Amino acid sequence: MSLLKPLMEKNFLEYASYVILDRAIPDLRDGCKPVQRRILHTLFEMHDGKFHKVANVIG
Amino acid sequence: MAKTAVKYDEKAIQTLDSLEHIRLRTGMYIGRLGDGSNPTDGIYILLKEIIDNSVDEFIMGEGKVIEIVRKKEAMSVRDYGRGIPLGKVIDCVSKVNTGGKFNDEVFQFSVGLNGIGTKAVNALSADFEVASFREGKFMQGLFKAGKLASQKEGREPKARTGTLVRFTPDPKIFGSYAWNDEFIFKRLRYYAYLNRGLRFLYNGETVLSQGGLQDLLVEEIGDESMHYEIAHFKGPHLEFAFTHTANYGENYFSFVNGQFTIDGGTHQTAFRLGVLKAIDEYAGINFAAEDVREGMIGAVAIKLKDPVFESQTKHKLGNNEIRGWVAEEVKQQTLTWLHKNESEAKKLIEKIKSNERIRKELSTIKKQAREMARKVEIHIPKLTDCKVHFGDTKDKRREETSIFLTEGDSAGGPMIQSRDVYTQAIFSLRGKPLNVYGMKRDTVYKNEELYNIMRALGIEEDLEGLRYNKVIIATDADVDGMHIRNLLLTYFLHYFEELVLKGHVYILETPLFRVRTKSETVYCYSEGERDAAMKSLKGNEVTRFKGLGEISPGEFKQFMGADIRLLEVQIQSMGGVHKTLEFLMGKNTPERKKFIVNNLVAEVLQGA
Repeated sequence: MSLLKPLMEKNFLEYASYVILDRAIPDLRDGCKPVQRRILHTLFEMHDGKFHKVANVIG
Repeated sequence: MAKTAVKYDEKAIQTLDSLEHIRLRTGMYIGRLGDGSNPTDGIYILLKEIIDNSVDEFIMGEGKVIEIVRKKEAMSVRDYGRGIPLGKVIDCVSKVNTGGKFNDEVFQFSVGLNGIGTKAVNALSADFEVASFREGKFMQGLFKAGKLASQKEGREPKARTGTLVRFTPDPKIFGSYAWNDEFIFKRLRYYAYLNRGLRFLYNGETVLSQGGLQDLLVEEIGDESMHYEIAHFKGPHLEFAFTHTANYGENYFSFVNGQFTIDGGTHQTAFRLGVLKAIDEYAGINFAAEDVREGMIGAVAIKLKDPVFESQTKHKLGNNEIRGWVAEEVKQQTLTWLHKNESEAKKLIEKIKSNERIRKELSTIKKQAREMARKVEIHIPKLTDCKVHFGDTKDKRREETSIFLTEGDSAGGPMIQSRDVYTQAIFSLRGKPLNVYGMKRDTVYKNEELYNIMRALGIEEDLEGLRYNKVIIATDADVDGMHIRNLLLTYFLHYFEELVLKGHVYILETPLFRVRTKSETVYCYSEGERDAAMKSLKGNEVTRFKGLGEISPGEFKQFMGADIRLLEVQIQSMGGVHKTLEFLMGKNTPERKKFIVNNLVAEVLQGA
């Protein structure tokens, strides 16, 4: 059993906080959002002079 | 047949002492027992019985203040009414069918009428104290579990005339229970609305209403969405108030002699009729009743000498003879109000006309949607149906029927494999559903996903067609999952309020972590549980489930079957719901931003 108000407030806050802190705002240092940084890092790791498919980079 | 025959003779027939009877057959007197987590639980009924008596004193013009103090489990109620006549104090609380409310002279329009209330409280209390003060003299009685322990009388020149009752509900009857101050305040506020000028002090906090039923409506709707100023009338035997809001459906609060009649009854029917007639007469148009009533919120309170209720719990009024005069007086007074407040009346008529327009628009859209639907009637896309439905009244398993709303096909896959095909249906959402807060009803018909959910549940017309007893929101336990939960709840609350009110909506809890060794596996629902499990199992391996899709079908079986964990979504007050929704999902960006910013820090610390 769970009351609606606290339940929705908690859900909302966790989502909102996450979006603000870990998703939507670029970092001042490199101008990247976390997702973008992750991709750049992967590209850096994978780079060996050959061609790579985009799908492999993401997966 | 090896059965010892129980002898059924004269010895088997018992006559219980009346208070003993109350202890043995509690439900007959106060309804459900409960543990205090629901506002209709027994302990609140006990408190109500005592306060009712104090309020009856106020109705008779004595005692403008009622003090209520809670010390842990013990409640005390002190009024400054006329006090119980000293010679009868003990009888009044311990002998059933004793009371001053059987004739009309001393008490008129009282709620109490059967001479049971206080006695029931006494019988069901571990400790019960009653004291009556009259012109410097007093009489006091102490009871334990309904049995008189001691009594005292004497002089107390300083004490003001009135009655004091102190009681502690008996844990032997109620088990372990806890008072919830919120419920008590709500109840007191209702008393205050109905008895203008009566001041309650609960643990020192004042509850008082000057506006009567008007205040009740303001509190229930939160003043923002009103279409016009509340119409309000107060006469000696009848008080009513109403207005229109932007919500769907109609909503009424009705009272008889201060008793909240949750299920309405003849006075409510008469009130609805009176308002309708007045508006039709004023406008000179015969509106369809549903257009006049769409969005209406109203409250009516009447005073009646011999109220007849349809049940012991007094939730529905049955007096037929009042219909005529209530409807007539409501009509006359509403007409007067409409003529006096031309500009408000104009807004009211506008609202009704817009209701009419929307209804007509909607019916054409519905027709179109149905035609479209006929083509896909055989199966609703994204729904994997089960074999039994809630509507199959003959099927024994209809109570078990449930539908899981999951996040995407990846989560739906394993659930489809591990479900019980008879009672568990799966509906895979595609990404995040639309935020429907503040949108009109036609949105449901225009948005494919929302329309499919509605059809899958079978609640297009009303709740009658509901196809599953439990609607389970099964999203991932991550932040996006939380967001989807909110969006879905908003959708249900906005269009299908009743679905949530009747307790059909649940949230599925799935484990966040799996801690396992070669021989043993523990599933953990919180970080605390994980840490405990990591300590107790040596050489463990910890997996975090990032989404439901990662749980394999074999494992999922237990989380949907015997070990299912469901959270029922419950609602405290409708007014509060609209406020919460408006705040979290509405268009008030600046305040919400403030709310997020203010609470963000705590979140970060928790995460760290």
